[in-house]
Amino acid sequence: MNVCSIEWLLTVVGASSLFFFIQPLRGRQVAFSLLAMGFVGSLIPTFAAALSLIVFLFSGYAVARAVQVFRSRPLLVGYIAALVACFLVLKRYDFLLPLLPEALLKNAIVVVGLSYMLFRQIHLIVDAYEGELPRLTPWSYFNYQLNPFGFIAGPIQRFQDFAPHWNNLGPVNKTPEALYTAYLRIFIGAIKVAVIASFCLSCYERASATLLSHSTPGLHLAPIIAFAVVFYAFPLYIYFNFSGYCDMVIGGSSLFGMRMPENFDRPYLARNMIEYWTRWHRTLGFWIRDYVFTPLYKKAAARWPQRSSSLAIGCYFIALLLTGIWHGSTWNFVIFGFLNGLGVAAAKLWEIHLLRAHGRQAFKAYLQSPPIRRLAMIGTMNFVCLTIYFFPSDLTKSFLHIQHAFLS
Amino acid sequence: MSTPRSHIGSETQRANPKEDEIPSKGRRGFLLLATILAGIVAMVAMLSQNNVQAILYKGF
Repeated sequence: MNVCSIEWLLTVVGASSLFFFIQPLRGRQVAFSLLAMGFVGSLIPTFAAALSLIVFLFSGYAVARAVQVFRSRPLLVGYIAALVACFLVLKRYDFLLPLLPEALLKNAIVVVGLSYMLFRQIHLIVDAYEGELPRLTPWSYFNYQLNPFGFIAGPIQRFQDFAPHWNNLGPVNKTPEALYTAYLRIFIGAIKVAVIASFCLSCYERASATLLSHSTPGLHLAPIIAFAVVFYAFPLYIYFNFSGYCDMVIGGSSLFGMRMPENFDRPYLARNMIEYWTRWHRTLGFWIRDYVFTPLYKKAAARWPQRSSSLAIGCYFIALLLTGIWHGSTWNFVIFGFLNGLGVAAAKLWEIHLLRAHGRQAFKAYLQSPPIRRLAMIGTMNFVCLTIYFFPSDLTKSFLHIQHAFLS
Repeated sequence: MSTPRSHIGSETQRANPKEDEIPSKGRRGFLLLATILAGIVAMVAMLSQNNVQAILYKGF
């Protein structure tokens, strides 16, 4: 079942109306599980895909429990390495294709929801190893992994957030107003996806077609305007599409007593790329910070303490490069990650430079200056649009747009 | 790490504090009307499009 569909809207509205009549708590948990299984089951294409999902889930629980009990570092590292290797192979990354055996490429296995389950799984076993995980039962684990409100495309909920809601699956919208607000959020999300995002996408496609059909030599106004539409419409499309989807699942989950984490906070108003990643796809940004950047930086800074500042820049770059590569299996996502890595590294470098050259007081004044903030926001927004320019999967088309607008 | 990971979720939830506010009586009618209107628009928009997909299904 597609989340952005009338079937999903009707299921959520209908099922949630009956949900809290079910007594007791265990009954509501069973009903939630059935809903989750129905949703996930509707996405599984073949028996092999179902089997792969079951293997993934059972191995994940077994390793999380083993790591929690035995605190085995080799098991933790080995399992994460195996998970990442499986992910790269199953996603069939372009740069790995020459290395993969032909039989594997011909008989591709699909694991539904793999990208986001990978994040939840790594979080679970790292937190289990560090003793930060509350009691993990098979019942809570499977419902955490298969939670239909974050299964396909996030938000990436932590188990520590999921467990309290799961253990007290009761109404979170305690007043009629809160209930209206939850419904309003679902409907606004649907309008964002079905109306605003679709409009932005059609603008992008029309401008792209205009641009590609233009072949008159020299610089002309029409292709430059078309390029501007291509440049700004696609980031708007992605924003309304993804944030609308998140509105729908966050509002929908609250109707079932579950509160999913927020995923957007006006991202195009960020003043630099570091701030941007705390506003755009927030749960991914925080995940990358906690499970990639921080461990990497801690390790590097402990080894070379005199170079901690420059190491932070390098770690930011690596973390965001990996984030970009996770987004998709084609080369354009490597470019997307590289540009984001450059952006966050440059933001950190600039901060270090200002602190060293002008001191903490001047830096504080710089941060508080409204004109500087406005300029920084405009610059960041345009840089973000540049990174997203390479997001559509056809890289050749992206370069042809530039050629037809400025170089023909 | 300065912030325990178990606190991160609550940090993210504070991003939308308005959700917990109880609106005044004057806003209730408006809220209900806005919900009904948005619901109608959303349903019509979804019905009029056969294949509305979130980008992430394709990309991720």
